[in-house]
Amino acid sequence: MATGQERRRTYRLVMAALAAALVAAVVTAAVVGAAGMSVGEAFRAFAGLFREGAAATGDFPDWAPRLLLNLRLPRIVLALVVGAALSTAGASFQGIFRNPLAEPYLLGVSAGAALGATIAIVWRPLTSLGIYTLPLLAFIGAVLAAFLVYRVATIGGFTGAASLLLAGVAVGSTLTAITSFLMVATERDLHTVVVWLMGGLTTATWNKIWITLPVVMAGFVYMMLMSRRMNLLLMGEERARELGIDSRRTRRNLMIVASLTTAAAVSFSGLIGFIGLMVPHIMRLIVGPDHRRLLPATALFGALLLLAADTVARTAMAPSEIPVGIITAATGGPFFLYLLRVRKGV
Amino acid sequence: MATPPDPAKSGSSAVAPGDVATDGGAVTTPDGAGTAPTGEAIPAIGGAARGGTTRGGAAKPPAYETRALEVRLGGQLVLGPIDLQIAQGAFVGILGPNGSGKTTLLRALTGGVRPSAGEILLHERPLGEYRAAELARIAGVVPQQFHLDFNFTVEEMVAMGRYAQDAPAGDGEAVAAALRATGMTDLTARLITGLSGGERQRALIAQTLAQQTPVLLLDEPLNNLDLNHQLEIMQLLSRLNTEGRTIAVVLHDLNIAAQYCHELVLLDRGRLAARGTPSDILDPKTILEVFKARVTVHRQGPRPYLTPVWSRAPEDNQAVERRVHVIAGGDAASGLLEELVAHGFTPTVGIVSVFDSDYAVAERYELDVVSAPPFEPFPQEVVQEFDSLTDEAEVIIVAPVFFGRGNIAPLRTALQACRAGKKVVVITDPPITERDLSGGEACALVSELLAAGAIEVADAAQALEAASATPSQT
Repeated sequence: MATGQERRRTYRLVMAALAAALVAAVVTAAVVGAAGMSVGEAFRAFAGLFREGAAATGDFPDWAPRLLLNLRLPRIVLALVVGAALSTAGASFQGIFRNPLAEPYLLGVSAGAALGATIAIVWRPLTSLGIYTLPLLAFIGAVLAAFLVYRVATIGGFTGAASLLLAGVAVGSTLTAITSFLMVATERDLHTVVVWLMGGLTTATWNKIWITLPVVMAGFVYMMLMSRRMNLLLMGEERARELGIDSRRTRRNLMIVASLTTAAAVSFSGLIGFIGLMVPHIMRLIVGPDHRRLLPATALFGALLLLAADTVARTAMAPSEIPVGIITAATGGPFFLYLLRVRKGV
Repeated sequence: MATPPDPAKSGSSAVAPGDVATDGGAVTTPDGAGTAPTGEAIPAIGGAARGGTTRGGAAKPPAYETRALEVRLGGQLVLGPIDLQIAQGAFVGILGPNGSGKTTLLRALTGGVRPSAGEILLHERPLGEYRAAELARIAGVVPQQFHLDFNFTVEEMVAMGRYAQDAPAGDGEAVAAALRATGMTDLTARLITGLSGGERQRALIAQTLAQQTPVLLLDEPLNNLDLNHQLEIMQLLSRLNTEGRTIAVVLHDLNIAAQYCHELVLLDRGRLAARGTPSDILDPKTILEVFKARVTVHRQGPRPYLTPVWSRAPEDNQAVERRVHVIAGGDAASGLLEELVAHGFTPTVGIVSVFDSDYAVAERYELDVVSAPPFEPFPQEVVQEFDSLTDEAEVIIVAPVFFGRGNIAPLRTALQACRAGKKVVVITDPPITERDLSGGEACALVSELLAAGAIEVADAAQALEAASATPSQT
């Protein structure tokens, strides 16, 4: 029996535990890797970043500060941002559609991003535009696909949940067909495209973070502002309107924001599956369905989970890497089945 | 302004003459710009007395007003045109068979469906101009369908009703009051997903009550509730209405509607079939027309009570062809007439004085009636008219009338008819000796009737049975 008080207490406990786990995960991720160092060395190297001339002391390997600053920290932060983005977007979609099977790629964002990325990879003249060509095209593809799905599903000013799901599937498979054709037609880039599609954070840089983070942050703030409204939407559009919100506009805006958040994450990380579906679920089982608590918990857990997965991805077979999407899918699938069978609360 | 209401249905057929003014005025059908608020101008005589108390001297504008409202769903006209006013402080029951447009009417009032023609005014302002949050502060809605598959606690769910309300300081209290009112206090910590259908329904009502709106619109709020909770919810609505809230509620149970609502709106195939106080519009004829079901109406208390006629399917019209005449007078035959009408007969009636209750009942059901001026012996030409009417009848039923010298003529006719071989049924309870004001002549006539082969029965039900029986059985 979950009283309101018990739920609030559970929530505080969960948030504290997640924060602690997150700190531990960040430290672990910073320390472990192909080039090894101890926790102490890592801390001293990190502190050394802020003190001129510290490198000379010999407290840590002289390559350590640059490794931390330019490789491991951006990757850690990007993992956190992307993890939080995908899982909060997933929570929003599940709320908007009142459907626990909804996920951030619902409106064709993944297929659009994949097509954009594939075009950027196979069309040589574009690559001359620089390293941001791929993320930019992936982002554009994602947003256009979501927009197209929304337009196709809107009939006479009304956007039904079922027609959105169907339009998402239809537009998604069309775009995927084009992507597959491009891959087959230009065999030499096949490997690059496949690796991107499987999702990975290998190419994380601070610049990418400065682009992604504001979008994801703004999206999260908006979702939090709308969290009570999302609760009302769980009772359906008409009931939500009876209780005082403009349901259609709220739903539409939330879909736009969640899709933008997803697109921002996807364009730098590729298609990382299962986080957006699984994390909101697990958190709903623990902290309850109230979005005011669900969204923050989901953000923390998603960040934690993707960081952990990415750390495994780059250390399990070091020095070679496994795409992180494989890790999330490989662990997420069975875990999801476990939830389905054992908890029956899914 | 508004188009006239459907003349065939809106009043004349269902509301007895002379009863128009008893409409408390809370539900009126504007007939045109000038005469619209007839009911409002005339003080309530009976019926919706409490609806009247909220109006005071100066007439308040109606809470809701629909003008030539039409709703189409999927291109199909499912409602309207409907002209309807719901006064502030009214307690209106919306009735009608399945598919008659009750839910559509209510959803139009909540803004859930847009009118395809006409308009809806809430507090004299077009409904479409309200923002959702404004609307949620004025009109609380209990919808018929409700799904929440996420495991909120009852308290969390009820608190969602507070979303649009201005004063967050009062939230806790409003939620607690709503939980108390619906008897959900013990269940506050329970998960919605683990509630029974009835508990869910009460949680939904509590969520709406938490909005603390002056207007409540409810679509079959008694769904899934057992009898005690049905009554509790209706008593709760009565109390809220007494406190001044306007209530419009779609109900299935005609008796519950008759018992609690002050005005009823009866819909049939999307149109207004009747409106008025429960005693005005609940009668066997209207129910048969609208619901295709036979009922008898009991009018002992202040509010009518309906009993379905279980035994006879509405299609069973064998008896309808049989012509029955009822010798009535005073109040002797009103129950019998309702019973006959409920079973599909269209009896002729007479001779009755125009002040008799029996006359009013006959008029209500538009029966052929031979009437005479009050307080004098029946005139010769009336008796002749009566004789020719009974000539055509196959069965004559003699109701337990008080017979005096002035009204004994029909009894003589009945005796002649009986001797000529016509089937005559005499109700002899109370016994004729207690009803003979003619100095013995009535007693003698009844004895002769029975001697001549008239069937003696004790009450209306037996009379009906005797009249229905085929000649060979008698």
